Amino acid sequence: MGAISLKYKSKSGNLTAPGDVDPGAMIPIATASLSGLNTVTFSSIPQAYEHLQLRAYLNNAVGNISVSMQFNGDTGTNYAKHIIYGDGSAAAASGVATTASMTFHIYSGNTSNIFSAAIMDVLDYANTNKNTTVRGICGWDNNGSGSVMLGSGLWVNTNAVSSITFGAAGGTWSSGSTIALYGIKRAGA
Amino acid sequence: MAFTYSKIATYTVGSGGIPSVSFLNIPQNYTDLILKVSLRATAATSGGHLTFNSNAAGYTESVLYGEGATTGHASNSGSSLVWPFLTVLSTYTANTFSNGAIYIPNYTSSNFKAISADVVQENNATTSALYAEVGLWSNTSPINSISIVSGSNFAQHSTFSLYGVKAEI
Repeated sequence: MGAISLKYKSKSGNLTAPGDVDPGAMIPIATASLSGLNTVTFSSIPQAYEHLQLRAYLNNAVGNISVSMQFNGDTGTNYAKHIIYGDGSAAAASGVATTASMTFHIYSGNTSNIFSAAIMDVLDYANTNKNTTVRGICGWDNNGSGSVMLGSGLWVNTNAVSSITFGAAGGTWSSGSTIALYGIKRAGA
Repeated sequence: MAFTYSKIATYTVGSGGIPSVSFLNIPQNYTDLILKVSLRATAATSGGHLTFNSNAAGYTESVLYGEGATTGHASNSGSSLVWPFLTVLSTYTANTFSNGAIYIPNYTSSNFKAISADVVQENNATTSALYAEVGLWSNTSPINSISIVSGSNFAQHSTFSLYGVKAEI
């Protein structure tokens, strides 16, 4: 059994615990303003964090579009994706293997002032012992209708993630749309 | 100055795997806790059992799940919470781990303790599970330890990261 006593803040092997002084664990890395764009890339991502978190706030000019996500410029069929979603009247789930991107159904209608909201966690993104798994919860409400989704994505590659590219499937994002990237520190870092 | 989101501890599973992990003597000066997990099992069984303060009574939970093209909802009661720790099976795509977050608000309060969790499994196949879960520990004691026991063993490179969230009061 692995037991972590936080009382004594000791270090043993790969077990880490914090000191009393903590500068905060969630650090803003970059924010992209997406007005008029249909793709955006966060490149040269620092490798010093344990996890990444992305927060998206999206609207677009053409109606419901989903958002694709790829790592390190890999456009091959090296991804899988799974979702469960609901639209207010029904729930459904689906999965796709060996595909060219992870797709998060961050639908965002073209109604003025109505944006989708999404939070995506990329755990252990710099760990070269692991393929990279993404978890996202997102959705939008169009003043009475809308959809909500819990999704996952897999990049079948153990390389550290150094860049993340998002694409709008079939449209461009509207003014005010943003995606923000945060780093989440490892305890002991 | 109080920091809103603070790292508390990280545990990485070493060679050979490990059957359980416990966070002990959890600081009582945060408002909420968040546990982020990246897990793989050493066998073709998923899951783990979560208990607080080594107490094996008073747990109830509900889950909304998707797996392949199937959706459903289930509830459970017993001696632990069983759905927050969805793990990737040993038979799934090599080197692939789950991704989950368990949120424990007001963990020092004298009310019963609620949790919410969203956790995904992943596999390069059409079938892989996603859980959105809520749970309750019907106990008024402050949470000072968290124990997670694997359904098999947690595989090497699995990680558990515990964070504290401090509200402005």
